[in-house]
Amino acid sequence: MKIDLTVNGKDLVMDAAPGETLLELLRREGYKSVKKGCGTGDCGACAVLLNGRAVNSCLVLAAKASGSAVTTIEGISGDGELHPVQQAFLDGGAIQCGYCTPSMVLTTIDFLSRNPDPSDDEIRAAIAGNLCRCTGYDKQVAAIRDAAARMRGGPHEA
Amino acid sequence: MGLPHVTSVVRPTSLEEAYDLLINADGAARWLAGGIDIVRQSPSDDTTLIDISALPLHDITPEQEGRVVSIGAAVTLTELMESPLIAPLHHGELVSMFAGVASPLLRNLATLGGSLGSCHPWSDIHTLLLALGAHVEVYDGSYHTVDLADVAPQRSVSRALYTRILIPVPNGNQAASFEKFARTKFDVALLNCACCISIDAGRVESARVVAGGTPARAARIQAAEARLLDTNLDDAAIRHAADAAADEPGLREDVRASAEYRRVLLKTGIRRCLLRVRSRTDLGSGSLTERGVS
Repeated sequence: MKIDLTVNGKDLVMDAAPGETLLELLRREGYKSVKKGCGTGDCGACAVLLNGRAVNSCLVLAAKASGSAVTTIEGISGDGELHPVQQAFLDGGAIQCGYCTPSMVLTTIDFLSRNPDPSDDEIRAAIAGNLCRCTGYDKQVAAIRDAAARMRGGPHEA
Repeated sequence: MGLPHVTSVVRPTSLEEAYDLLINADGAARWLAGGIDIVRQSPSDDTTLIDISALPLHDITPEQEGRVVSIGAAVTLTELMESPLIAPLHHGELVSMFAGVASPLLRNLATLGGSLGSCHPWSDIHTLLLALGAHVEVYDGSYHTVDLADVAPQRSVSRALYTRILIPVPNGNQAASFEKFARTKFDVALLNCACCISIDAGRVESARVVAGGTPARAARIQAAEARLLDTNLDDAAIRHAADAAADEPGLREDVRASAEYRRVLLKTGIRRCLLRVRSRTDLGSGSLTERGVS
């Protein structure tokens, strides 16, 4: 079946099987930043923004997403500039193996769009669906706090 | 591939069209709301999925002159948490409960109708809404409104489409509270419970006490409710209700907890709920404090 998607601002028509997930479709189409982890919505590695909201793409059928706007990590930076959340993760060393990083960044973008000045507890709750097996989360929490400050126009923490 | 047995996904734009599609699929179709349970657990006899996202089931509105909030079945849990109509209800108890359901990523997908339709026995949502006296409007060619307590799991009995969930707005003499016990904030509940109490002339006029994840599906505990009626919700009444709840025969063991542990949890949970309820009504000058509850 034909699937209409706007991926990173680009209107696309893709072929997908009715039972194919958005994760499978995106990876087949070359969006390799969208990682497959558990496949059951527990690890969050597959998170993308669907109409601006971070979701587990492994649990979304491509057919259900048809007509929607999808943003992957490939679509958030432009003109050679990283998104402030990416830059904060980079500056804060909030990355080890990097497998969870695209989803963690996208989840953070969704979160900060609704809560621009979060507490650490709110940050930890916001990334509860994004598992990281490397870092212990402290550096990600600090990076998200820093990203929030950057996006509010305040001083950087890093 | 995700669901190799699915051969068709359709997206009707009216309830009539949607229900006709279901009927004409001869048992091989299933509603597709948020999709979480479908992708995780879809039985192989569901070859057609009927995507309800284009149906007019996305509104949150006051109804019956403000006595009820109507929630479209396709409203997501995140949208509920952000709704100005939901946030103030019962001192924010609904929003607080939703914040402990799954992860933010899943709450962006999960719908209220889908969550109730799935009938997971550990559902926090089911427990609190049952205590609040919520009703569900369903469509099966015509509309019916049924008490949430009477809504059976969709797969087993009725394939009607949930269209709206109706939550009573508390009047000045009503208060509710919810308690969840889990390994982590977002984990499946080992047990959950909720109470909703109406006060008239300083006495408990009506009481709804509910426990879920027992490990059975949420249900009212009438023995505990009876201990509260016509009392002033004093320490003794709360203690008696909590004791009666702990004697609930439906408490059983499963992989998550023993029956005995659940008895302790339920007794503690009911006491906490009732103390919070008392503090939110004009009976709030009792001697028990939440700090003192074990």
